[in-house]
Amino acid sequence: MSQISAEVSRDLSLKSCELTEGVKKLRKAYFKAAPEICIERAKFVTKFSIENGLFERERITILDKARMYRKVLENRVSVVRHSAGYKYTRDGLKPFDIVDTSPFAGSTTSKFKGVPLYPEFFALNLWPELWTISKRNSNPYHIHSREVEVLNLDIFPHWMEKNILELTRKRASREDQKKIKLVQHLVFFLTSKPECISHTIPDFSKVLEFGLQGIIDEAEKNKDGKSSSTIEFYTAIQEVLKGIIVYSRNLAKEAERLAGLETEGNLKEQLLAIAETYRRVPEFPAQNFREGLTTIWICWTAIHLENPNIGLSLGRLDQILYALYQKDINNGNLDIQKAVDLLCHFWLKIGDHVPAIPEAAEQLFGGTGSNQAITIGGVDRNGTNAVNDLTYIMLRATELMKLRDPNLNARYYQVINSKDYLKRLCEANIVTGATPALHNDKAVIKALEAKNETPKQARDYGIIGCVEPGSNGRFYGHSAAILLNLTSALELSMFNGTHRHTGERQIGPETGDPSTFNTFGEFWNAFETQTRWLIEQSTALNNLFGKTHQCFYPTPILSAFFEGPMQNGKDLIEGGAAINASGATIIGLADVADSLSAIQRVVFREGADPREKRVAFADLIGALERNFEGDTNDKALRLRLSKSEKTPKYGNEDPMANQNVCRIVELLDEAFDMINNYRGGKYRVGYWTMTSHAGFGRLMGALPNGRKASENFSSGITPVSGVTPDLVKTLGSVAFLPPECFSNGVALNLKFNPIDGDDQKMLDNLVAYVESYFGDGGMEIQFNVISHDKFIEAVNNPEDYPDLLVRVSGYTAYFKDLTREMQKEIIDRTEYRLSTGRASY
Amino acid sequence: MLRKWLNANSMLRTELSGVATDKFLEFLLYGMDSAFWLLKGYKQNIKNFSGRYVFTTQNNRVAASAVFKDGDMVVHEKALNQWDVKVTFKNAQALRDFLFSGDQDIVDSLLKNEVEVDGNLNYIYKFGFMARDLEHRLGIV
Amino acid sequence: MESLYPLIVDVVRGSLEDGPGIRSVVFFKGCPLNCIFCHNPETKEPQAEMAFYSGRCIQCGSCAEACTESAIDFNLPGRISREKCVRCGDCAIVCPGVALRRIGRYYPVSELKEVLMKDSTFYRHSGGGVTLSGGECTMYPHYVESLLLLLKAEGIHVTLETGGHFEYSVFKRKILPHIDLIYYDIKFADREMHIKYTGKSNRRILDNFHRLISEANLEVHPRLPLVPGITATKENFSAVVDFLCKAGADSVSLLPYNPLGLEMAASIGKPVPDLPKGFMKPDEERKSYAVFENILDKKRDGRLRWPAGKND
Repeated sequence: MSQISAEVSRDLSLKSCELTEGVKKLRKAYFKAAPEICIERAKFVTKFSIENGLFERERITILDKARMYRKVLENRVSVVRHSAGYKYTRDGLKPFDIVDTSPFAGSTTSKFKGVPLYPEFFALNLWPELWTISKRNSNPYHIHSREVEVLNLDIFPHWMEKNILELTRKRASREDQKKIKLVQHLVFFLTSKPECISHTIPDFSKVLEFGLQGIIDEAEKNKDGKSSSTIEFYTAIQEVLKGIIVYSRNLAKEAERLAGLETEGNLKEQLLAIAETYRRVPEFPAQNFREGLTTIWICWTAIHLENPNIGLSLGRLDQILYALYQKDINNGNLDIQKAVDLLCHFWLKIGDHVPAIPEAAEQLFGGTGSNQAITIGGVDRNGTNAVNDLTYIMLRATELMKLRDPNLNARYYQVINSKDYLKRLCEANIVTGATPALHNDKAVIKALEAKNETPKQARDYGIIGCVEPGSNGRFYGHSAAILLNLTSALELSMFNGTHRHTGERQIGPETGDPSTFNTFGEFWNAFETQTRWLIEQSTALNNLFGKTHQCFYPTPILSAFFEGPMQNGKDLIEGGAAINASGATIIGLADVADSLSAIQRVVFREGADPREKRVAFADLIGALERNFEGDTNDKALRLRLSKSEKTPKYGNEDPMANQNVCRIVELLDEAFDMINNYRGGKYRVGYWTMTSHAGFGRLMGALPNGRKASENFSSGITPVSGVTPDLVKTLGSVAFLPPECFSNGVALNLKFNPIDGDDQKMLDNLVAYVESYFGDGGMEIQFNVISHDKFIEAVNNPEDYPDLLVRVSGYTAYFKDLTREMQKEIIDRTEYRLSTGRASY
Repeated sequence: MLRKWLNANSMLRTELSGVATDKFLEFLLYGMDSAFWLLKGYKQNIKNFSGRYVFTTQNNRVAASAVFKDGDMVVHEKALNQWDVKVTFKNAQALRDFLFSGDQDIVDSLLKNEVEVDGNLNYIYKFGFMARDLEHRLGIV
Repeated sequence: MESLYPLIVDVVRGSLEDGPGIRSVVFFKGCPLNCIFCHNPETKEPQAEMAFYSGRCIQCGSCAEACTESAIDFNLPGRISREKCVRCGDCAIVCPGVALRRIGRYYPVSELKEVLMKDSTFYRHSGGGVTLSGGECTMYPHYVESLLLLLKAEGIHVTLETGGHFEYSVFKRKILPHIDLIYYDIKFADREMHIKYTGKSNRRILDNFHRLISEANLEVHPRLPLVPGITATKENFSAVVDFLCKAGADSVSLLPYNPLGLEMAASIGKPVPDLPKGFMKPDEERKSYAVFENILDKKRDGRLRWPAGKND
């Protein structure tokens, strides 16, 4: 049974579907608008906590939280139509009018493009900036001065002792305090639990089928004969769901009121349609495609009330909405253009909020959106072709809208999915320059099965945040729990447990002075010890934060939309999900691998030509400390270490380099996999770096692979820029690595210079590269298909390129939002010509 | 952070540029202290606020403490033993850089590894706001 | 024995320019012709050669230290005293910046095959394969035959790039049965011009082309490399088109002028011919194409097509 209708198969690109006037205007306003800080949530949550004595509690129950969220949901402002936003002008941010004709009412915050605040987490770090945040250079947010006053006097002071970081620190032992200190040094690892857990895909299939009322009824049934704590869990679920129903009804009422005021017939009708839709869903089962989207949208806003807007992802929307779509098409209530239009509006709604990023953190995570991933295509739970009409409709909507958020990810199962589908995915990348990211089903499923997921679970993966795979609606995995800077493990092993950034103090274990080592094996052992030590520190700290979450941050809303908690009466944070894990991502893989190979070759002379001179370890360190800027010898050494003809490089199909990368990823996978998290899951490891390879790079000294101090690291799993002009070698080297070690995803970033005038050749070549890379076992690939000149122009005239979309490592960003360092990193990446298949440099 | 404010208060600036490094921190805190009395509304910031801050350098050559309690601010010219937050700068220069570096904040100093914070970071954020708020009230930002 | 074991200059992988799809290109060292405009002069001599790229040199002196023949002379712009140099490559081994390179290495057939098979997935998915280029690979029929047999056993598509100066009977027996496509360079139709610029008569080249077109059961695609003022003249175009029409060719392409050989000639210590230093400008190129097309129009016998794939 084909899931592609005759109409879609006539032109998979759906070129005849265009943006409607309404969504065009909204999109324009969206790009014009600056984010605005919204204090609504923070205000309600603080007020409730004061009134109910939650600040004095040693533990906050799930029912406390549920009642709080219900109260917020029932009282928050009902935004049916946005009427104004703030735009950038030479004189700062100024208001402008918006004509909002979206079929979707409600919003994540009270603003058009809002920055929600979660004072339970990190909002207080914006405190020093409140007066200046609307004028700061990078990504300013608008805020009213009365809102500054409220935050300063009525909200933030209450959380000074009570946010997750502080609650954890106060309860930590001396040993654990040291681990927190390690984070403050910034060069070793970061743990994100003080900021969020989020990073998961909720299950929307149930609410679509049964409505919230259905879930409330199920909770009631499940209470039967259970312990009081389990009954409390189900009551909490019911509380929040009732709150969501009231929020939706409030929106319906408001739409009705506005319709009464509206004189223009068309607009009146639209408002009445909203009122009708919002009276039905999400309370009752969705009856059509629009109701399906509305259901997901309203639940999505509610989930964000509880979970910070970082990395929450929507999963396989082309799968869960297909039945409703098909029903509508069959009974003539929907056509493809209308479906595209609805999705374009939906895409804009999804992007109606951005995370709060303090100025200094821009250096590590500049330009990030909320990274709300949507996944399309691939195979279904039974392994059969899942590409359907909606897959192509979502691609078209993405291509037309060119938004950073949502972050579209496409799955491809070779042979089972058609080649025409892959062609279409590559075409969308050429059109948008940066999206969707492509995932090789065979490799990803293998990686998940290696973590004991059943084939059915593994096949039903969706992408979380950047590139992390997780079984749709049943995997609670905080995929970004730990960002580990692997170059620090190398640093500690080179300096006997000390680090150039933190000076003489002993940080890691003493693994010996490498100048006394006789073999590379000894050096590897030191590296392994330091790596394991960092993993122990970071995971222990993550577990500590997790326990604070368990005491103070139960999650009734997310638990209501998940496979597991409803069956076993257990909150997600307590391990209620069907599959549990925590995730780490590694920064600096390629630089570390190449540095190890360099040490192995030039210091320990393994595989070296006898005519080449040995470099004593102390001399290598000397050159590093001089940043290779001493005499000609330093310069010569740096050249020798940098050139792939001289020193083995990952990405150049060199056996020694390949072996070192493999050893590293196997070590990391094994070491993380040994550790249990606080919810009864394991740790999974991945390689995607967002913009942190530039941020961490800034802090680190020169490395044995010839990289100078403060330079960017290579991103994700991508080989170091410039090691080979041959794209096929790069792809071959990456595909060679074992996918079983990549259960938390990888990002391979490639930059292509488009060919002028020969779209067909460009497309054919791109398709061939992806097919071959996937055929050889490569797991993920993402592109920038933009010419060097265009990048340079965008650096010089950012205002001309407000929607120039780029891939950093993992997520997509608007180029203008990136820091200079990050812009440079993207420009410096090896650029392959789609005309010759070779690097141009 | 307080550079602009200091520029606007040339008298205080003259005072400060004349003082030895190990004294200027106290001067700064005294400046803030006097603002609580002089500026209408600014005092709101410390109403009901209690907090103990220690600023010091690694060699302890420069040390000062600020104690907020009962709507009042008291400056001590030494490092108190009890604190909510203790900020240790690598050296006097790092402390000067931090206090006078325009738009920078504590995280940037942390990035450069010039400062180490013990205790509750939220107190730093609050202190940062109070400094900016002062500039704001003086019409500088 | 020399002809049995050729040196390989380079294996370039992932090329999109040397035949259909994604390809690996083997550059053989050694060529019977001596074209003054050769754009790969390092492939002319069958022996190993030393190249020096002055732009990469940081004057560290490692080369001089390593050289046992005292052939490194910092007073020479080309660095290497060619009379003293024995082409051992010791200097290249120690040169940190790859400013010195020994060109040419032996690959046992099985090793070369292994390198070429690394990209088999790319060939399969792109309709690509292996291209044998040079230099002139037909100089080494035994070696090439062994390689081709191994590649054919794997079902790899093979393209051959040749200047056509080979012994037909040997070629027919050892190479022709195992290849899928030939790119056949024809520089001049006029014999004297050919002798003047390539050092050899073109009789054999033209005869071989004739025979291939009439006998061989595969696509033979003639190419005419453009060298401003030398091959890219109205007279030569006209004569070549005449020849191709007579031979019964049905397509032809023009290769844009490539001046990179000049730099390379300097690097390997060879005299640098007096030829344009830059690529042809787009309007120059267009002009050449227009002249060629005009000639083609007049002499068209109904078969010869251009451009068949401009190879640019």
